Amino acid sequence: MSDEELLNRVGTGDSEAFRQLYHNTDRAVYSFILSILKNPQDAEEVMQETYLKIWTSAASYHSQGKPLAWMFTIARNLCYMKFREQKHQADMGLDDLNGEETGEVCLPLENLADAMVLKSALEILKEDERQIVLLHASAGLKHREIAADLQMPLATVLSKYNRAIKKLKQYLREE
Amino acid sequence: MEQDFDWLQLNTRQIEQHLKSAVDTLTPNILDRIDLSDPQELIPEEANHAVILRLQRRIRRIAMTAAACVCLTLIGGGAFHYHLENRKIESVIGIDVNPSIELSINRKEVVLEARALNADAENIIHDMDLKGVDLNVAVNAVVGSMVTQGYLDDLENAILVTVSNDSVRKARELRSSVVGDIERTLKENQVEAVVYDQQVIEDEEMEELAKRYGISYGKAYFLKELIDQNEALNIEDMEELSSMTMEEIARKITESSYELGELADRVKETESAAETTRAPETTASEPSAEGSSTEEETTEVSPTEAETTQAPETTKETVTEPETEEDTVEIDYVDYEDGMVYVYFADRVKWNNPSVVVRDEEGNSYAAMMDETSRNECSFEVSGLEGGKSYVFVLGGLAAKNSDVSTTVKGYFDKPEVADEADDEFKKDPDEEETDESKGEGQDASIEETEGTNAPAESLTESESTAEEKTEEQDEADDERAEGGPEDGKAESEPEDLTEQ
Repeated sequence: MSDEELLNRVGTGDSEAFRQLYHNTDRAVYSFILSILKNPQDAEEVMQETYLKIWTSAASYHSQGKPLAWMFTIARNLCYMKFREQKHQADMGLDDLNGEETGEVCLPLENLADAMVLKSALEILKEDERQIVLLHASAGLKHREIAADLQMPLATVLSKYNRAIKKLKQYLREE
Repeated sequence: MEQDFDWLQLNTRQIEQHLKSAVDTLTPNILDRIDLSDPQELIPEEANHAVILRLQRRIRRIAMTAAACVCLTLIGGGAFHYHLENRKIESVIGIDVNPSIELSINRKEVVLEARALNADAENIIHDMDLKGVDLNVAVNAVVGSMVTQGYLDDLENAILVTVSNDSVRKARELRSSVVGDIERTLKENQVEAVVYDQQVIEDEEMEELAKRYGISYGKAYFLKELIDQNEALNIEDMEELSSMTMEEIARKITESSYELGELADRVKETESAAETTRAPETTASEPSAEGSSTEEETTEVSPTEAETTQAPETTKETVTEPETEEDTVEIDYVDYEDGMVYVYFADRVKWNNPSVVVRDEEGNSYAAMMDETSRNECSFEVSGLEGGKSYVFVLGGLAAKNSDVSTTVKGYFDKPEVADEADDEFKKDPDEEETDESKGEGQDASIEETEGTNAPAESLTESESTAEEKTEEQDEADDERAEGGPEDGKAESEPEDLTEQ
């Protein structure tokens, strides 16, 4: 069953469809959120909120053949809310700086090369590059799917991807 | 960062594998934490969505108002500034069907003014008070009214959405949200339409044109673009085109298979046929005139003229996967970027001693070096190219996935024309974020940096900002070409190739 059909079923309260949809999309959704937040703890939190929101508002999904794009919109909004929340806390004097502000990304990964590459990607790439790179490399989405889900022209996705990978190579070589 | 990582001379595939493995490890399993007993929102159609959005906005507005009050008590001028900001037009959204309407919005996407640009538009909005309404609600109302008044019916509709904003990024966001709103409204009303969308910047010439033909700025921009992209059209056709409705224009575009340049992205989604019937590039020995339609089709673009100084990394991978029929290699599309050419194959290939030769139309050879090869794509580095010219390349030492016989395959790309001064600027600029990187990369960065700047899209002689505008445009043009124009001059690679890859 396609994600589209699954999502429609989720809208009718089908929890099995929801589980299936979760398994089909968790990498992509997590990659997307991580690429925005750059922090695994926050990403996990937002991922949970995202899927909860997907569950509760699936009925408002209008079939457009782009279920992932819809899920990304939810995730993006929640990510931005997270930023606002953090900003608010920082304004209140807690000075709880996140990765975005300190530029440091902390990843609980044992494999050093994995950690190094992901950390570099999160630190040196711009947000759209991070999204494209993580969605393709980590979540296995095709460039075309990314283009559709992020509403970008395919060529933009391709050239951003190439540029980002080139940047990464260069950076890793020099570090 | 840790110094002992200088061994990390990774190739693309290794980088991808590390990223995959890293994210695989990190991805949490939160399924069990989702409380499926949470009540689902039962939503009668799209209303709810709008309500949620509006609610959030309202909450935000309350918060902002509170902030403004604080400012008021602290510094008298703060609130005044806040007020002014909200009254400032930040973007203009044009909607053209035949009714042409322009919605001016502030940075919070609240409509400050709704203008009817023709009599049909007057019919649509004369009894609506759109001032102070959120953009998405206004768009919904306008499009809904176009449906009820019959400007959009059940067949062959076309809508042009134009977003004008100083920031390219903001314009892009707005553009996709407005298109999303329109598509949703259409869906609700069970109407299908081709939605063209474009983002534009202010340009006197276009304003002039719009005024002269009594059409909206967006439509003028769209038509000018259409004329520029297609040799068969010239500025005299403006007269005829400007009097047509978007539906008629769309039909003409489909019938005549016109190029759409920047606007193609949208169109292909709904009308794939229109985009894919163009003839492929002829041969390299046949000099293609500047701006000719064949050239358009194969234009591989990137705004910089870069002599990449980066050390080439040659990774040779031999992939052995005997499968199915056919033993010719077909190139799906080619992408030129900053001294690198990326070639994407329609199907899997195998490599054995990859080689590449690059020549221009006169047959002069250029230094090219294979960078990476994989089963779907390869990239090579090439230097000494002049901007604004077409080049042919021949890849050797590769075979179709099911064949053991090495073959060669020819493809084409264009190096975009960029003013040399602009390029020099990039090289010299010491404030770019990645100055310690190679020149090639540095330039890349500077292009990215300029994102969001505002410059006339047409003028090629301006420096950085122009280059960026060009990137945007060309990126889009690339896409359009990637869809329809095979590079190898022998095959009609359908767009389906891409999806099924």
